[in-house]
Amino acid sequence: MRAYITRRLLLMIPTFLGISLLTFVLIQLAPGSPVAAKLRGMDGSMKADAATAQIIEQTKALYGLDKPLHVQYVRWLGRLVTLDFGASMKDQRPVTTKIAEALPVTLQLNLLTILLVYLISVPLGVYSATHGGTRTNTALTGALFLLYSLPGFWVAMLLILFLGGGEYLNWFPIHGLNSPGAAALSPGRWFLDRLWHLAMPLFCLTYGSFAFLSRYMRAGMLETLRQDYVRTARAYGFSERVVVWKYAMRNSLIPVVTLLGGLLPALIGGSVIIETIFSLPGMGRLAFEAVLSRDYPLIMGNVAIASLLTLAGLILSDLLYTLVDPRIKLG
Amino acid sequence: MTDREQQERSAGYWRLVWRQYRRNRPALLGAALVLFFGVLSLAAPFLANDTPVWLVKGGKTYPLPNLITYADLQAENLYNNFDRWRPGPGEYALWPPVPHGPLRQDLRARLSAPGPRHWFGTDDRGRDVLSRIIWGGRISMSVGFISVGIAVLVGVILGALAGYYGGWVDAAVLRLIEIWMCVPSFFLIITVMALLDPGIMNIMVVIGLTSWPEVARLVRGEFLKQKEMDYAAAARALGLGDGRVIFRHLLPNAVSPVFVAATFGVAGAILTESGLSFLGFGVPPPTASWGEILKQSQSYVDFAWWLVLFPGIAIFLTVVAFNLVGDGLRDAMDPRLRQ
Amino acid sequence: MTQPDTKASSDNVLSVRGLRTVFHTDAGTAVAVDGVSFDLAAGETLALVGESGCGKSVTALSILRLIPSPPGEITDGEVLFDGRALLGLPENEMRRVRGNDISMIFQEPMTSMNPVFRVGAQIASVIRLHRGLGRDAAWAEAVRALERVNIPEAARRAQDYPHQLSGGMLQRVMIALALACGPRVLIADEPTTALDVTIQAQILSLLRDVRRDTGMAVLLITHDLGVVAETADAVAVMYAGRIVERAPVAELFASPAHPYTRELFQSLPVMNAGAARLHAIRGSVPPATAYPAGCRFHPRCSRALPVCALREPPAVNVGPDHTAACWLHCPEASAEPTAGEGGKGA
Repeated sequence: MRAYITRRLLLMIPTFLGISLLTFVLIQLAPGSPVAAKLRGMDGSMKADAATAQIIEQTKALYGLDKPLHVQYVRWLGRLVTLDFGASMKDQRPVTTKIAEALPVTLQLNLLTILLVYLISVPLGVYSATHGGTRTNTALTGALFLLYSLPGFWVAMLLILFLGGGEYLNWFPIHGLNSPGAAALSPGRWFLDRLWHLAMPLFCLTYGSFAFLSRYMRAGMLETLRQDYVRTARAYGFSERVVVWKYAMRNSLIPVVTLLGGLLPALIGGSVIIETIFSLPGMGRLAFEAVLSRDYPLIMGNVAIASLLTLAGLILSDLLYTLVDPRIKLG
Repeated sequence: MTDREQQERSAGYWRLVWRQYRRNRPALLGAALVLFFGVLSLAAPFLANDTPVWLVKGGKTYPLPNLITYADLQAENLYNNFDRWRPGPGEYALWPPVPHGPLRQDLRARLSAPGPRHWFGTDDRGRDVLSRIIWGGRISMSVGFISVGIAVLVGVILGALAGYYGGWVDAAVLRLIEIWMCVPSFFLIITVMALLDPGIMNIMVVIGLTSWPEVARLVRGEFLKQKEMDYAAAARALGLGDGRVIFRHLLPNAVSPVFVAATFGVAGAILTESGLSFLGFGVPPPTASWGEILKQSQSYVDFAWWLVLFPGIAIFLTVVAFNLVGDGLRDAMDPRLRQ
Repeated sequence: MTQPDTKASSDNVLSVRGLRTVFHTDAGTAVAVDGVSFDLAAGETLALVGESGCGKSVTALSILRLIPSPPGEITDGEVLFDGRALLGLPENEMRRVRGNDISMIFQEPMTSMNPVFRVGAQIASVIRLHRGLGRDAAWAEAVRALERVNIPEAARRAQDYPHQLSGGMLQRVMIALALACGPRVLIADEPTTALDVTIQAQILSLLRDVRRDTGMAVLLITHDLGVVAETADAVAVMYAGRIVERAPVAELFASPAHPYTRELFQSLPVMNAGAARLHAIRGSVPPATAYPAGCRFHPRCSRALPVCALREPPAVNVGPDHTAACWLHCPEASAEPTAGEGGKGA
């Protein structure tokens, strides 16, 4: 087990270097970079207009774009290791500060999303596996399938249109994390206010995953129920309910838990679209605004920090997996 | 197994898959829809155009003016004004079902609700929405297929190498996959799109290059399995070179899950493309794209319901279609479900 | 129709009468067990022998009502455990029988235990279920159960996960699990087939010891006549869902009466037999959806009579406590095929 952990941690290094290289390529696309100029062609584009001479100069200075490539790379590597990404061009505040403000919002949103998705999908998947073939089950699977195919931003638009004030119902707010003046509320009510604001974005973020995860859970459960050891449990007198929920569940949850690792990039990167539509000041919206204003320090900082956090998360989830599956732990 | 036997074996396999697929009604519906949208996209110049498909004018016959630019018609400045031209005696124009081009503006008719002239209404420049949806389908389908094609190409090669050679090749590819997983892809895409010229080629390449890890992982897994099988050892024992063994023998058996992943990938790529267009990072205006119509609709959402409904339904139906096909393929290829 | 055995039923801890289990498949209804009857006396080891697909495992699963119900169905028959009818019991009472009064061990120990629970915990949970003990008491009992099957360092082994133990050890664990609640009957479905020959011997010897110590009856399902010779008291031979011969083990080995049994013995490879070809029974086992008319073995039987193709033979006494369902042992079979009802019981 210890060998597994050390190996995993060591393998982090090449990945880290790879991330640094990939992000370095991004820098080369910035205006002011000779590589970008070549890619863009002589006529440039509307983007080149947006990058005024001042920005070009600033970017050049920041990343040393006029220096040879390997020098630039070393400089960038240094930045990554020290997590120093300079100051945002828009408001001169340090990039790391802006990210530190946006990250908790995204984490909040996405942790709630994951919680909701698992809370609903797991029982749904088990139900689907144990009640296969009934009309309710077919209808449910069908409904989930259709939900899964709906584009997220369209659903957001429709929700805002129909439930967010305007001509129809006004059940939910459509901007921000809390109502103005929410700071004056008691903690309980503040929390409720926060939830009320997050309701629609949460829905948009979760509905698609219900279908996916419940299907996964169902497949896993069906697979488990086919196994010999389930037959043994039945042969020793356990009721079907105990067999499914206590016995088979543990086995079926393993692949589902490992899925968590794959959810991490979305968890940290945030949803650009949903956060922007609902004006939630998270990583996704920060990224979007950075790109819109060609704020390179912020862009690079965002990509870099998001990648590094995701890497850390991936390692963590791998380690979590060892806790859950004894075959890895002790095998 | 000889190469020819290998190929015959594969042909029989596909027949089996098709037979199993045929029994699945929703999957057949999906396939029909995909076909429908495909045809619609391919035939767009014939379905929605402000230039007639066939023209008889001034005693001359002009076949396919929608595709071909005729110098004399061009000289009369007809190509942007065909709707104003009325056929005289002995003259005749065969119009496509939707006689509006996706770029043709008609400012007097801007933001009109669906009616006899514009079946899906018009947008804020007076462009026909139905026409833009048909042509937007072209964008979506091409982005879908080509980006997935790129992802599959890169993914299959890397996955096959990783699975077959193992050792450090495998470790390297796994690192690459991990690197790609760490970097938030949608963010990466919009960043690249902002830094490069917008354009459909760039979109396709960028989406393709961010989706290869999934394919690579699948192929690697399959190769790890196939590599251990007897026929692989036999091929190697015959002295066949690595390349031959990988591509002629192992690969045909390893690609089944790739088809399923590719189908779902197309659905995903279409969603990504419309999301990009929605944010303004997709194909540049004035090209029609479903996401772009939705972006525009935000300003008029209180009353221009047709700008919200139709493109959304188009995306929805296309994604449903590909998801149905993907599901159907997966069930059809599952050996356990076979009778 | 096979004649039921006429041993005194008060001796029998398990009695199966006319058991019929079918499976509804797309290809038709497969009759896996068709009118099987046998008795198991207390302390006796009855071996149920046959080729794969003859219905022996399905018989075992039917006794415990473990047949998956959508495709499968027990359509007829009676299973008496200590005089109690099992087939009609409500499910919650049946659950109290499983693992408690009648236990079953399976062929593949590696896959028959849950990989994510420790082996001690799995045994303890069964003990808690049936004997109502608390956590610690149940764990202590589980360790004791492991000791009884000669697992060294039982307390430490109980903390292991299944994948950490070898096949032989795991089968011992399964046996420990089976014995944990003191059942009167143990059904062993091919317990040694997946194990090495040396381990096989150990497991069989363990089973013999257990029987001796507890007086438990064992229904041993196997296709291996060697195992039968070593372990069984009596043997029932199954073919195509029916029992074709039943005898005490020595009697069966000395004078097999049914042609199928004789062919089975002939198929056993004999050491030092030189380079002679192995004997194989010609033809193949009929599918459970389409049994031949008359005696089910007749298409492959080298001594078939005309009547064999027309009517099923009754079980006839051919020796002490020895019955066989074969027209060859019915005197009137040599006469007209249409002669009266068959069956002279003893």
